[in-house]
Amino acid sequence: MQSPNDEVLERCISDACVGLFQDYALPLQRVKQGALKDAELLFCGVVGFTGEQMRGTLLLATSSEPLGRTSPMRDSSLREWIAELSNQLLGRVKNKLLAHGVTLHLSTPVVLRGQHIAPLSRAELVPYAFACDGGYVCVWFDAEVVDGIDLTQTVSTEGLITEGETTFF
Amino acid sequence: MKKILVVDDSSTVRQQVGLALQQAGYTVVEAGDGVEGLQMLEKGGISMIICDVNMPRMSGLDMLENLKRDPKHAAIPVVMLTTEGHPGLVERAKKAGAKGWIVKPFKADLMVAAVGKLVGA
Repeated sequence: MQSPNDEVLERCISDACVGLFQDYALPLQRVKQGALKDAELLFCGVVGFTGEQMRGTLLLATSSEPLGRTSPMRDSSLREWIAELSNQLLGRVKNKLLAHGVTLHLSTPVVLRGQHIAPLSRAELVPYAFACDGGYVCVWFDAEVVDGIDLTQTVSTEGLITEGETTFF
Repeated sequence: MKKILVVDDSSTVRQQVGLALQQAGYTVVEAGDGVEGLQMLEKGGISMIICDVNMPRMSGLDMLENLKRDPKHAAIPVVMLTTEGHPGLVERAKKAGAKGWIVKPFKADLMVAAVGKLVGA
């Protein structure tokens, strides 16, 4: 059974991933983990994060089709694009977690390539799996939340600039 | 033709921004991090800078603070283009003299409009 903190994290990560791919015109549908059994997750972007309330790693893995279809430049390298996409995904998660009082600092992304890529985590790590036209997208969010942090509490996000927004000073 | 410096460690984002600006009639030069960005500035002729925040070697905010301390470059308008939306970072950029903040993914027409507003066509 999920803890209240896990439920908040699940909502933030799932909404961030669906929103990100939607912005690149690729709708995602959440599917059960088992749907990934035969998926060839070929590219994986890995971004670390630290903060006073939480630290860990986000991994974004996709098959080649969704990666190619979301790339805004048709001739750009998929290696380079998965790095940017994982960075943008963690940026969205970070912005969503701000509303729960969590501030994260991001590292620069690392890219892995292989077949059936999956992390070997210390604890059981359930992936967020998504299907889309032409392939699969999978996110692992391996985070340690500091004891006593209650993510169900919300705080003001006044001044937060959200995705796609432009602000002039 | 106005020359715009695009600083981002993602070559895809640099190409994407560059294409939108070139189609709007601007000349574009690129840098992959803050260190390269400052080197490009020394070559001269830059009308405006569009700059990512999280980059290796030197972040966009460090680059911004560096160039605003240099009287040769202090007047060049800078807009941050980033995944970050944290009010603390936005405030730091504003205090350092940035002119705007765009959160990725950007809309090309809005970005071109922002450039036009700051440096003209």
